Amino acid sequence: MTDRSGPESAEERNVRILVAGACRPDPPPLPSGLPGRLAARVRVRTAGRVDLPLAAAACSAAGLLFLALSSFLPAGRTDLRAWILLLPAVNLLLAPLAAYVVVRNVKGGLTHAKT
Amino acid sequence: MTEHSADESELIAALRRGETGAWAELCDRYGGALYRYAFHRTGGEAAWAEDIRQETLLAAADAIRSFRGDAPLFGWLCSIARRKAADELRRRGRLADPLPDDDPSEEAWERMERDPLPEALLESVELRAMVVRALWSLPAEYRRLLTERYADGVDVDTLARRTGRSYKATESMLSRARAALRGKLNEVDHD
Repeated sequence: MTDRSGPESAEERNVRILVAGACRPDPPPLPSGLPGRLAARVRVRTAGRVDLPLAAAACSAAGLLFLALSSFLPAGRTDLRAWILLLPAVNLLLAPLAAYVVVRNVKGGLTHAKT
Repeated sequence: MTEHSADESELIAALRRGETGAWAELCDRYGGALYRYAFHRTGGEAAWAEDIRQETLLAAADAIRSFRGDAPLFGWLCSIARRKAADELRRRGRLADPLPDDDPSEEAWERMERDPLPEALLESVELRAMVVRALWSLPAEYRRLLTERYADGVDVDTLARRTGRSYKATESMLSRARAALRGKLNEVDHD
């Protein structure tokens, strides 16, 4: 360190010892396939999740459908029979969502087993 | 909440999407420093440090979606590595931590600017782990300058030529980099 910066200050000496120590030892290389394994691990975890925006959209659509169907009911007929009639419609709408979640979980599980 | 550089924010987003290129970039950028951090944390056990590095990266892949970005990415990786090292130390029946009695304090970091600190303190393995964490949490330009100047021994004239700055500007940037390192050490010390 003999350049025109002059004698080394106490601060520079402290930093030099700290930084030189922190830059040792030379690390061994990581396994070449590791980044791929890490990325696959993230994708598996993501695949197992319920897609919240999709679930929210499905629930909103179900609610709207419910409202729309309710408006067709004659006045005074919002009794148990009407509810029973509406349930299959709501279920029909939610069925694809349930299937979607099941398929994603199964796919995620299979990929996880492979890795 | 830590403000990540645009570069680091993009990297975090790509890591969350599970892009292989992003994970390769993470390994490239921080893999070496993470090994050094683990090496010093474990008191210099190379095989154990390598295990901790790989376990840390696997745990990071499991947890990246819940990473809230309230610490620099490398600081977050170090937190995982530190927990893994502490668990293993406990398992082995050794004291899990931390710095000895001469634990540097805020006052020590301030003194660092004007007094030569004892070599025994500066070269303690625990402190080295803290310095690795602080150094790799700095902006890349500061880190490059500090390592070239103080680990590789490159003189200021050469650094000035390499960076296309004047001698004075390079000295002043080095001074800012040293201050930033002191600040980070203080942060890491209180973490």
